[in-house]
Amino acid sequence: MKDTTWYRRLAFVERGLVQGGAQNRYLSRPLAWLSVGVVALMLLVALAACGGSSSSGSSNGVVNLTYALWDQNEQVGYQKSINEFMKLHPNIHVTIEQTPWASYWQKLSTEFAAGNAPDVFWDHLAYFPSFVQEGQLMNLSPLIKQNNIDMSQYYPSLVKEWTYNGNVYGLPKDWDTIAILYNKQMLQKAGLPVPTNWTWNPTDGGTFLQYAEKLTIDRNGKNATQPGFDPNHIVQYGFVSENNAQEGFWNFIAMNGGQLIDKQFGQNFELNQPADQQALQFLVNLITKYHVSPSATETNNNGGVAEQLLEGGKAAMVAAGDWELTSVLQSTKLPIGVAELPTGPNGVVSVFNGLTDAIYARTPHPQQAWELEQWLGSTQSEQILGQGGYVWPGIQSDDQLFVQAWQKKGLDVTPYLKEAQGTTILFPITFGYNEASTDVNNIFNQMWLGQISVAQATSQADQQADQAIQSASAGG
Amino acid sequence: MQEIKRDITGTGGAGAVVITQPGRLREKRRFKPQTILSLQAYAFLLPSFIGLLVFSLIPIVAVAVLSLFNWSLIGTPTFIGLKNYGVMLSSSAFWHSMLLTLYYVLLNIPMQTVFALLLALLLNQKIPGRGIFRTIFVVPWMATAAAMGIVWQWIFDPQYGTLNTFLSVFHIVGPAWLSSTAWALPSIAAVNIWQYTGYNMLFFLAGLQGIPLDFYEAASLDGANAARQFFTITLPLLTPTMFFVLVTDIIGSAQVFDTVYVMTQGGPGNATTVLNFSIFQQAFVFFHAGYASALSMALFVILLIITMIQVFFFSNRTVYDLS
Amino acid sequence: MTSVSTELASRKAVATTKQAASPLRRVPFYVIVYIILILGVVISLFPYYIAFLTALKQPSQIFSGSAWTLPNPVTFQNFIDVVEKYNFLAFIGHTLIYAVILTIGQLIFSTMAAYAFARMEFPFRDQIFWLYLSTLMVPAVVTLIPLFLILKTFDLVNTWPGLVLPYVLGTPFGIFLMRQFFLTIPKDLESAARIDGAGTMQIMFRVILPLSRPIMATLAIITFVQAWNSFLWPLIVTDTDDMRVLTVGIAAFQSNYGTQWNLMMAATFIALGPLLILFFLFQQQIVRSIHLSGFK
Repeated sequence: MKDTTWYRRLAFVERGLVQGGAQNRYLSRPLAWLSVGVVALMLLVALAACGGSSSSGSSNGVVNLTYALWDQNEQVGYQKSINEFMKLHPNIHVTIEQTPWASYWQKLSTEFAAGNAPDVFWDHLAYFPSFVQEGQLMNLSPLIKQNNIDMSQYYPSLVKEWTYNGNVYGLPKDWDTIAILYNKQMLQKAGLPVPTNWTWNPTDGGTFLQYAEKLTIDRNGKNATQPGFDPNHIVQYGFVSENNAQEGFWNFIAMNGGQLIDKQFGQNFELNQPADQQALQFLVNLITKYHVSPSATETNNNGGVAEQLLEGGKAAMVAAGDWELTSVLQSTKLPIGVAELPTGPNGVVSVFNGLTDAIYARTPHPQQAWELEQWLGSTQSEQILGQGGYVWPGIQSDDQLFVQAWQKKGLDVTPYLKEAQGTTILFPITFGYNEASTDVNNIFNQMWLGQISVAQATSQADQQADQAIQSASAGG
Repeated sequence: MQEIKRDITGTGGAGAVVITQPGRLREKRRFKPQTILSLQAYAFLLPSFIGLLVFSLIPIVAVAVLSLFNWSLIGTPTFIGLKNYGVMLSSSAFWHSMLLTLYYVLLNIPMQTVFALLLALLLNQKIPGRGIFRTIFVVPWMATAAAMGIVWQWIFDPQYGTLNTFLSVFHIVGPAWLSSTAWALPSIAAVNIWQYTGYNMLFFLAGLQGIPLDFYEAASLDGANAARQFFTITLPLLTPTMFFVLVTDIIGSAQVFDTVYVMTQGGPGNATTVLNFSIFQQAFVFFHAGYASALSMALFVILLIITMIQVFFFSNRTVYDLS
Repeated sequence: MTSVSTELASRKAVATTKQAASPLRRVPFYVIVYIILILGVVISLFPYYIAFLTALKQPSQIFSGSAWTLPNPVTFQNFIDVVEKYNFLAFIGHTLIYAVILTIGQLIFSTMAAYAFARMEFPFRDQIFWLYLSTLMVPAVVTLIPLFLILKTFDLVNTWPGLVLPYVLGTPFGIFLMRQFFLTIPKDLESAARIDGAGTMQIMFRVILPLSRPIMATLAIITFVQAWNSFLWPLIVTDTDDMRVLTVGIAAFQSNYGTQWNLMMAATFIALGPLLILFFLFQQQIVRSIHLSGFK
């Protein structure tokens, strides 16, 4: 049976072999091998010849620096700033390397492992402890002293956050706090004034809860304060309470007098304290008891959902850091306003965070990298960035630029500034922070879903987070 | 006119051959010394072997060595011997990831393979529009996992997503797919089935089109119906393709990462923390790169065992020639 | 030799009268087939439909309705922005070069290695093949680190050779695929050619390659698409815009400061377009080449 068709194939092939004639159409054996080898060689040579450029280096006196960042919108502002820098320093050329946020740390740590990291790069407090522990960051304190840099121009908390063992590892270039973004139209419709002195507390929720309830509307038009309100068919949520540390529960815990960690670079998370538990219970109650927030199945592990609900007209208020402003305002035509966080039992307390530019400890050009760092931490550079309205500049006197940039767009962002100048709580940093916070996040996801109690969740979270910190402090 | 007599049923070159063509030799040397043939073979292998050695084998050996170290990725490694393996084998998180990965492969591969075979059978017929259908079914494989993962997240959204809205038309309340411990991994498996069925269909199509139609004709003339033809002709002759598809698909799906990273980040809890995601987390988020290397070796061993089982299963069953 | 074909012909003559009898029975079959196919089409394309709608929406519209709400107004500005503001034409160029180089390399070097494994006898053949195969079983996430270190040692980071070298010399996947196919080519063909005095290279070019067109087309498509969508390696080894590929460009629309979904979806479609065209052209190659070699 096999002969039939194979024979036809064979005949076809035979024709090819024989019709070619005796010697002329055949590739003679050595020539065939040679030609394949030549093609392969040509391919490889072509590859080697056309090259992109390797990163750092220097040619004819010009030093090439690489500067890594993750946001391609802010990159526009930074390019302007760097262009100015290069005019002032003609012997230094800076190339910006942008890596998408989701992969920025993976790429950076791979580059650390290979000894090939960018000369200057954006650093974040979540990764700062690990990087400084392993000696990948250049200690800037001696250089600061040498160049008489006035550290008082920066917010003191920021400098403190970026200090380890008394040494500073970055010049603060921006800061952020958390405030409430709200839909102005929805407030007007509900007859509510712009929130200025509202309050919250773990017992009855204060005026903040009243706002949230009046702004939660079901499909029949009833709000959560009215009888007959149907919590199963809500079309508009008053507030989005989500499992989000920096933009959510850290702030409320602090406002209730609770603690996050025993001390910076400490060994113990302190989420199990009564004050912490009360604050968390309040936030969970917003979903399960008061029905003003969507279920955590919407928001767990999905950071952008809260802002999406606001943008889509499905939620009236969300807690958001000022870095969200550009994206939120771009993504909606609804009128959005900014309000300070409601005053808790311990007043208004917001998480205070900021990025710095770090210098790679093993950069081949420490002098030039320091020049760049100085520039980026200077008021000239921070003014350029502030005017773009991306983030608040790290230098206190430049704050007004950010306010003005947003005033032009019709938005009053001063609540963020008021909070920065008031009581703030530092971003809790420690070794093994990433692992600890992942553990906390996973456990709190369950708590937000109502699957485990707040007491259970906080004690488990503390336990696992502490374990993670200890194993990281031991190294590797 | 050239006339060639050939002994086709002979054993490859042993038979006597006469070429009756004027001007040519009566007999040509039929054998090359084995060493020259071996050298030719090595020459054929050389480029890919160089690539393999430098860019695959050396990194893999490096990872195996690193698994014996405590390494934060961004610092210097310290030798700790087999301690990583000790921690790994006694870690419930590791066994959970391992079982999850196997569960995922079981959810993913059988359905994918069956669907792909079904579509290939359908589109091997001369039905109008088959070229368009073939292209459409392969399209899911063509977009980046990142972008499509996000769209699927929107589809799976519990309150506003397409799937639950669609189900509500039939008065079914859909679960919170990606937030539900029971449904998260099957949802990810569903997305991967969606993505790769068309791709596997391509292999089955190539395999089906390599089956000579005469076999079917002879069988139907003998009175065999479609089902019998499928089991006695199609399936046996598809075994080389099936072997390839199963081996590569199982290896690939056991290493699933992109969809998990985009859609659930290992959650809810650890319901989708498959092994490759755990490896990524350990290396690049928690900075336990030595431990991540040990996990990689564990995955390697598991896949090796599974592949060897498959090779053994297929070795007596693979049909390259129906005679 | 011709006995089977003549017998077949005679039997066919008898059978044609039988077969003409039942065209009606095929209608329900076709209905079922088309229902399955249409269902498959809807499932395959629905996510793309949503992505496409998003690409046509203004940012403010994306979350105000549902994912499947039609854009109002329809705007093509996203596509324009992606190309003009975000440099995507350059990214298409880079990705094209990358994919073409990898595909050519794969076709040349994997075919050679596959033929050696399938049809040549040499010591350690099976062991070496297992070695190739086993490299697929180690996840790339961690092996990337030593690989990057190797490239950095040779100063190839952010260069075209650095980007291409790890994969241009053939991959175990491609070799495995081609080997399986080569195993199905009957040995008699080659031994007959060898008897005729053909050397190995001639056998490759005159016997093996003409028969391998469908599988080589398949391998070409797969390699091209995989290279086109490859993300992790280009991300790690390239730094600057003059080497950026499409996947990294698309990922850049996601930031921890907010994601520009409309641009991301528009960029996804721009990246998808060339693949669709290429695939539609190639999939005809697979079918047509079978016809050429004499099968019905």
